[in-house]
Amino acid sequence: VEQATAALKHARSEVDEPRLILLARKGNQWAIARLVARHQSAIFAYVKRMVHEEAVAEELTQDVFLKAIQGLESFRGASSFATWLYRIAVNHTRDYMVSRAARDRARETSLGSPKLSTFQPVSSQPAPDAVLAEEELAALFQCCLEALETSLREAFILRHQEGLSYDEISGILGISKANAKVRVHRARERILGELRARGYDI
Amino acid sequence: MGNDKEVHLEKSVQAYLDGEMDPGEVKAFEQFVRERPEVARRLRALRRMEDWLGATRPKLSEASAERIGAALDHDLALDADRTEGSGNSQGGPRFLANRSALGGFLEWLRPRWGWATAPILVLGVLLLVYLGPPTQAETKVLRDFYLDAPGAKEVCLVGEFNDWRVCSIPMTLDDKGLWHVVLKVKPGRYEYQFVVDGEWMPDPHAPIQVPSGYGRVNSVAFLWTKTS
Repeated sequence: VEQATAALKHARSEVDEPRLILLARKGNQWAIARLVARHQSAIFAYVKRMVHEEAVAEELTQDVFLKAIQGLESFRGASSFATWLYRIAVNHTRDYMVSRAARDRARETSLGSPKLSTFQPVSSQPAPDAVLAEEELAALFQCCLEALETSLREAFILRHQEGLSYDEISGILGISKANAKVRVHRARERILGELRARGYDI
Repeated sequence: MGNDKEVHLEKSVQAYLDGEMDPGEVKAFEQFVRERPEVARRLRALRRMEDWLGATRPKLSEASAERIGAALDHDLALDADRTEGSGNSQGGPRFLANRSALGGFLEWLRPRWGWATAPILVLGVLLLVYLGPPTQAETKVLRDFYLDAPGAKEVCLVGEFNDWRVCSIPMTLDDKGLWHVVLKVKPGRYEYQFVVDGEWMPDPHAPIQVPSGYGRVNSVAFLWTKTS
């Protein structure tokens, strides 16, 4: 029953989304609020995972919606609205990360501060995964994720956190479906390499 | 050749993780993995990582959602003011053209029903008010019946409300010399007559009279609202 309700809800939202977009374009505040409420948790989840800090994620999410609403004219409906929003989120987050990296570099050269701490294996012996506590495992996974280069991390998060299809990911990242797959596969390879390097027994 | 095998294995692992194998292939692959613990470990590590990613998906707190909404309202309102202030009428969306949530909601509703149906809607609402809400169907309405019959000894009210049973509703003489009774019935349209000393007669003051089918005339009372 729950599944059916969810499916029905989904179907309904698919139906009235174009109408909401049409009205939002004309400046209907109610429609705008509906669209934001419907998509903000997904956009926030993606952004937060990418940038890590809550306050930054909140601000970026807000920027994404502001950009989206101001640019609604350019939404042609070729992709779904969610895909379009994710695309804006991906680009905006990327811009933010580039500028943050530049800021960090500037600070580093002026202060000579060391690089961010990285996960240290508990012992030099490889640890079987069953032995690692949940928190340790989470910290380990977090490190592996952060070690990924941005393009791979984007694809991996969209795939496994947001649960999107390769078609959707290719639409969001503006690459071919085959390319989207390659990115996720490469991300997996890198993650395995990182896990091994950090003493996770594989 | 060993390299080819590695590539093939890699492809299988990815296809397996992406759920792109058919059930037969999945079975064969899982059988194969059972004999290759190192592949099983890799698969398990990736699965755990992917599960962790899904399970710890960041959640937007209500407070954050509210802040985002408020900030958007603010930014879009500034936007709208700027558009208006610049006297730029060449288009582009004018944000928050509809500043009231109710107005926005009505606009969303409008083209689905069309304003053309509005009169019907209004009539429906009026009718509902007139009839009272459906839940009140069980409630009763009161109505006074009067008959001026000087010299009569016994006057009764008969009608559809009492299945035309004579003198189950006797009327009494009031202080103004009129025969009177208060009827309490479910709302509806009722045909009725008076029985004066055994003689049937319609209500001389009823606005509507209809043939009874027996060569006589019934009066009609519309008892929808309490008029007593």
